Amino acid sequence: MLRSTWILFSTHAVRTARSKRALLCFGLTLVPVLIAALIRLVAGETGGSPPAVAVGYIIVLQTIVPIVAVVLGSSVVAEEVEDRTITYLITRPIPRVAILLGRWLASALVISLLLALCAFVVVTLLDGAGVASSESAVPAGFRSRLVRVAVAGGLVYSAVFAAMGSFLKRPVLLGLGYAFAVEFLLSTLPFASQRITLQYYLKSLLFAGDPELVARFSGSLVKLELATPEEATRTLVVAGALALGLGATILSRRQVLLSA
Amino acid sequence: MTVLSADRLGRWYGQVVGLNELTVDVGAGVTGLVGPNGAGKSTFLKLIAGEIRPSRGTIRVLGEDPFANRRLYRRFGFCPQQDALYDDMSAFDLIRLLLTLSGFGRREAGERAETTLARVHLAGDMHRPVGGYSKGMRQRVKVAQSIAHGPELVVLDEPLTGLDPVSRRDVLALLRELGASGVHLILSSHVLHEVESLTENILLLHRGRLLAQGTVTDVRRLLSKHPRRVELKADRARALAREIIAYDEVTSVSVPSESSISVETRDLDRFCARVTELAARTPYGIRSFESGDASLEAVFDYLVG
Repeated sequence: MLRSTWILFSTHAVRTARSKRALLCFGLTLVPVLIAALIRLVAGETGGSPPAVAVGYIIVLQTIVPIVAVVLGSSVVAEEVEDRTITYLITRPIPRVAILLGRWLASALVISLLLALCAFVVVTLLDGAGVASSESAVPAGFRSRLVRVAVAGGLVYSAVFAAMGSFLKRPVLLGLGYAFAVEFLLSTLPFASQRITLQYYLKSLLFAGDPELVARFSGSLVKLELATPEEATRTLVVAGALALGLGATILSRRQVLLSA
Repeated sequence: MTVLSADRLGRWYGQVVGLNELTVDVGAGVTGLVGPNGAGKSTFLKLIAGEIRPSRGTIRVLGEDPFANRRLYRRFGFCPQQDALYDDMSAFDLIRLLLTLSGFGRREAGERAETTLARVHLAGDMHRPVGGYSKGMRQRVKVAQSIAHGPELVVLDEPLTGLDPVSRRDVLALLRELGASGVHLILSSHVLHEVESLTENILLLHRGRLLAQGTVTDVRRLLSKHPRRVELKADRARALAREIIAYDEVTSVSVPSESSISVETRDLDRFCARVTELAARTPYGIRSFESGDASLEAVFDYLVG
């Protein structure tokens, strides 16, 4: 299985990077960059912590990460079905799980690169030199934390959407619906229901370990006690693994009905 | 040797019957699967390829249950009907990728890809993206990927559809060569004479059922005995009916109205010839002539056409 996963990963990493979907995602990652540049331009020296954390969390983590993951993650199996090329793969002596894993890894690589770059540039732009006071400085380690959490979010969300794409007909629409109707909404409301969203654990990873940051955003971005970094990491890993496991199980039993 | 065995095989798509109660054994060599569009050929081939599961009954391909059977796929090649390839990849890269997935090392996969693409006359274009290929070239890439790994059994769904005459000749020659080399072939077509040029062994499907199995001659004979219903419109229907009832090939005649008659015949060809002659020489005022059983008409037409 490892060999066929590697073959599909190495083939599709290049294809995914050159695809129209990747180009669209690149365009999407420019949105927070442009917003950051605009804030930097308008706010001048008063840039710094609040805009960096707000843009980093709301625009990058809550919005761009799920969208990029939907666009590239949901296509992992669904694109093969839509393009009717899956026949060539499922009639080879390889486990079907390798199709999901190989293609997901290829998408995950592109997603990670795009989101890491986006998060890095956004915080860098808003962490302006000559910030007026220490109050408005971007907290130490926030940039690298946002980069890591954006990549983690991209990986987990793409695993979920890849799994959805292995059995749903319109995974992009349903994925966007899930990302915004469930994840965005629930994670914004100040209720314990936040804990059933991936966003809650991503937010925990971003804020936890920095009590000062939590205190500054308590009541606005942080409305609920956060999970510990260990718990958040564990939950995200389990969620991603469960999603891929479910997708692999469904794909291995799935009948492929393609039009001529 | 039995290459394929189906026992009461059935497949439904919701309320629609794709294949129904198909019991058949297919032996070694080349076998043609013929039938009009919608007969169930593609459904049967998808079941053989293990893309879908039967709704009922069983199917064994080279002695194995085909659904997602990795052991079988080492010995099996499938050329699907859909015109779908990775358009951004070259034919060489595509075939090499599929060969590496079939277990070949990268170097051997490259060599086999080159050899196979040369066999389908694509040596000069193998490094161009397949998105720029003609329909015929794409079809040949599909055939190439189904044979490149040296399978015992190759299943081809409408491999000649959309090909220009030269490509058709080349693909037919390749399939003949494969058959002669001992590879078992099952190929579908809705045009009988295409299959006839490759093999005498055919399975005839119609409306999801096996209508006939045997040589082309057997099947033609069988179908020619099948009673056919024909509707005629004429000014003097009763007089025409009195004349037609005397024909040997006519089994029954009814006159539903003063201007139409309904005829059942066991030899449509002969009956058609006689009615045409009758229309030209007698004053019955024959205005139209059509088969009331359109679906069977389609089967017959393509068989004799």
